[in-house]
Amino acid sequence: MNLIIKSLPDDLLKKAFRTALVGVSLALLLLITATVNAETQVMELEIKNHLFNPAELVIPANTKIKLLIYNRDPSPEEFESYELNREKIIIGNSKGFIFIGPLAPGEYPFFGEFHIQTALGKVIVR
Amino acid sequence: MLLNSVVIILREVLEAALLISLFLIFSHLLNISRSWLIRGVVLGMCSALIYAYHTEPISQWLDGAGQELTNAALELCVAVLLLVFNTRIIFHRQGAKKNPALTYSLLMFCVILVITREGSEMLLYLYGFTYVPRQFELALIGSVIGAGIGLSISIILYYLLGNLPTSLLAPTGVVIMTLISGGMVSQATKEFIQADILPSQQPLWDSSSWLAEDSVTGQLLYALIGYEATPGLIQVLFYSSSLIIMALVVTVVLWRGNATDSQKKC
Repeated sequence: MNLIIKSLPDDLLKKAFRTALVGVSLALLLLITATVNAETQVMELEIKNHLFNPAELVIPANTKIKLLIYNRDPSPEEFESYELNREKIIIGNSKGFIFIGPLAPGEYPFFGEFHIQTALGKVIVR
Repeated sequence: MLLNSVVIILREVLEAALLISLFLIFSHLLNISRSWLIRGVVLGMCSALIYAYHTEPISQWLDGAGQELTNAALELCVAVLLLVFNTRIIFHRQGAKKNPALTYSLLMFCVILVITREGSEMLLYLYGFTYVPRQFELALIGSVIGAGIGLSISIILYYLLGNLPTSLLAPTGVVIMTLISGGMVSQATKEFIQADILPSQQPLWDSSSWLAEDSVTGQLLYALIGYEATPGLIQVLFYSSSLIIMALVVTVVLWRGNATDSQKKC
């Protein structure tokens, strides 16, 4: 009896693991193909003298945006927003991008974490 | 300026410091030498330096999603290591002698991975101020204060947990470590969403008016249980699945331990 109990979890575990793995990879594949097909609008944001330009970024509601961020300062900056759930370091004199949206109408503040006193802005979704 | 540095460094230090104080308690419980701390911190700082220095080329990897994927990989590795560490604690409670060298390296690697990610951010932050000499000093002082506060909070946690009776300590530790690893998975999910590998969704709820993410409690809960004020559906799903997987693994390990015990008695 004890032998059965001992051998059971091993088999079960292997089977469950395999099923979970197949399930997760299928779900990921579906999600990736679904996102690849969508046409994405690109918008640009610039960091200069530790200021965002434009400080207010107006984007349409329920639309995915690829936000290209240029850091024209020599020092690194971290684009961060609690409301957008985004966080990315952009090294000095380089660029990076993040995806934002689809978002509901409203205002979503963002900031440069490394220069929080000046680097402030918001995404306005209409 | 000074205050900003305090807050930023506190945020970065807190996550690593909380994890380290938990590890210290459990290496005492599991009779493992604590020298992984020094090695982990030194190697972690080295690899943080390398990561910080190469952030720009790393960011350009994989069509510009390199930074997100590297961070996600670091976070997922920590989550898996915590899962393995949890099973080690249970094995120990069951009296099974499991390879202590493995547990030792597990703790060391966990510390290296956490410090690599948090440390590189701190280094880049401080590096930015080398362009303005007078501010660099202020930033440095603020950082030291921030790091001090972070360490103090983790020392409090160390003594709070360390004074628990042993029978309570192991389950509490397993639960906290499960929540931290859930937080890691949730952070990794956020990286995937940011890089558009997983789709972005409307937040499932908004608890920011109740508990803001940038408040002190919010930050502490973010480090401990991966608190988010506005998480998307996928993030919540991945977070809860990681908790369920951890619970399943813990149950199986406990179950098999009991089965072996009763077999021995027969």
